[in-house]
Amino acid sequence: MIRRLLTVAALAALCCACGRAPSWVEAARTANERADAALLRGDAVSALSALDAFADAAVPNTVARPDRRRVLQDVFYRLSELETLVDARRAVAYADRGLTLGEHEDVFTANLWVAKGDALEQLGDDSGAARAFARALRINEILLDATGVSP
Amino acid sequence: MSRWLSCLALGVGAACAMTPRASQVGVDDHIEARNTAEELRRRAEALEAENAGTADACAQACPLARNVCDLSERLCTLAARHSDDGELERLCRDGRDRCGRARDKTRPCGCLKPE
Repeated sequence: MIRRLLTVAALAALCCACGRAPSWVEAARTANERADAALLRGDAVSALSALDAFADAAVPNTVARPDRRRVLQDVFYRLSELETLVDARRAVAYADRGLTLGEHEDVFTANLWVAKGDALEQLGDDSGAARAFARALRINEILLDATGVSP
Repeated sequence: MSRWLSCLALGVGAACAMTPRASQVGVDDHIEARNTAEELRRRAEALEAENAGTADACAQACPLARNVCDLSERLCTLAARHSDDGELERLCRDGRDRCGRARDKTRPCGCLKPE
């Protein structure tokens, strides 16, 4: 299973908009912490509810677009992965909402393709799942090349 | 110092540098040894920095290479369910090739077992 390479907590440290919109980044962190706590209790519904509320909240204009995309894509990835076992159609919709924010050759876009592939596989759409996994694979390969590691 | 000045005055500095007087040999050996030690220290520091850089690069590269190979496996699992689907077969083969390249690239990191 693909790993989450960045959490929103780590993202907040990278976030350029922190100085301008700390409350929004703080809200993202809080939503993730609530989801984590709910999952520890085995309460997936509350976890989904915490993340969904954050995803639907208005984003302040002061948040830079790249930061908005990264934070929301990370939340949609989590929503999609959590929803896959409950309602795979909604999981696909969450992944698509994340992808609609903009596709880039980064871990956020790759994670959304994996989440979409998981949901499509759950729905029995193996061809669609394979195409989604292949997109994620290529992004991971590009990111691997960028590390400069070579034999 | 006076020896160097007289050499420079004669315009034969290079020749003088190669023909030290006997009394100068001990000092020159000492300076050379010190320079060699300094050079070795610089090289050791450069090597250390290079190793640290490699470790950092591997820390980033290994999870990505694992993802490439995990996703390749998932593609092949899907392809195995539909042996008559050419597209899935192609995606599986392509994924395996990319996983192989990811293994090769990260060989210095030792994070993926060779096939």
